[in-house]
Amino acid sequence: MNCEELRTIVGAEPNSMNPEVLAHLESCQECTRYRQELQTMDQLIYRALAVDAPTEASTLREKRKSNTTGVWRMAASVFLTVLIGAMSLWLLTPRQSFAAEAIEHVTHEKFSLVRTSETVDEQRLEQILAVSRLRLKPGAARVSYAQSCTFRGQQVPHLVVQTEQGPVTALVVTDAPTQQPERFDEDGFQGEIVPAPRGVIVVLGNNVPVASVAKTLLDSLEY
Amino acid sequence: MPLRADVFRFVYWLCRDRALAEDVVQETLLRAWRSLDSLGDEKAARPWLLTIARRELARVFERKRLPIVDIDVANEAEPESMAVNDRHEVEDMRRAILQLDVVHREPLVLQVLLGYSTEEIAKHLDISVAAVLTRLFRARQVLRQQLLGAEGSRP
Repeated sequence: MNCEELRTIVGAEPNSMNPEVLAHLESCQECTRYRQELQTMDQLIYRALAVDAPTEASTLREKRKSNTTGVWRMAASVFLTVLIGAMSLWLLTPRQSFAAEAIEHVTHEKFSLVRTSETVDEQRLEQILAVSRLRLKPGAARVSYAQSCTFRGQQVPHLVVQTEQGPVTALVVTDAPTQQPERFDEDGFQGEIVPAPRGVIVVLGNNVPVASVAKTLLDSLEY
Repeated sequence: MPLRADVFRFVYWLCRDRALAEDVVQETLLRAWRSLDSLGDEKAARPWLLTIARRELARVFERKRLPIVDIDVANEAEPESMAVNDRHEVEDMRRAILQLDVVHREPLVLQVLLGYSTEEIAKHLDISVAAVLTRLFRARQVLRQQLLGAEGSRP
């Protein structure tokens, strides 16, 4: 793969994990810089796209303001809002446990679960955490993989931390109800969901102790 | 309400009009509620809703000729709390995205905002994976060029 071919691929998928792309990047600093530039631009694109969405209450207020034909339109508006509320509630009712969804997500990106001595560039890690308004104290953990992933409808930092016993995945879910600590052991993954200052942190791995990673992240992440 | 917000943002970036997007979201949820039985897999709720929203917006476009959107009006004001440089960057990017052709804007929204894979975008738009990659590449190329221009023109 030459530089031009790589830039065509990365221009469409800046986070491409295509093995040929990765192999080229290892030996080409200019293309590595180009990809980082595009990944930074993607963070900006994400922030630009994430416009404020109206809440149901504000929608109802707007409807009231523009109501010119009396009670029936108001009644219809209220009915619609109740209906939408019921619909949203139905769609948002958890049908799958947090743990199961985390395992499904990690399985989808299982290529990240490798033992490696390489770590993610600090600037990139900072950018990914910044999307969720987070910072990690420098040098606190050996992070070998970092992506901003869509999880439960929100952007979530998906990190892989290297430990002596193997890689441990951490999903820092900032927009979730804080809950009591929970342990799980499903589909070959063992993990913990721990309450955090905002939301929770889910840590999981294959036969790897995860508690120390949860503690490290809780101690080192600035919310 | 992340799911509702996702649908709203998706529609907003297609039509570039907040009021219209809100109406389309309400109509989408209403239609979805009526045809709840057609949702086989509950995990597929989001793509299902986005497909309904896309059809609903197309219906609106078919019914009436919509006014041309003023890009400066469509561009959202950023909260004061955001640092000035940061705000400029986001505003410039938003303006650049609003100027993108919808053919390039839609796959970009699906990929960057909603986390769709290239294959999922191809399925959603009913086009080939190669066509999706071309559109995404072109979208980023245009944005990059526009942003470099915006940086140069800012005092």
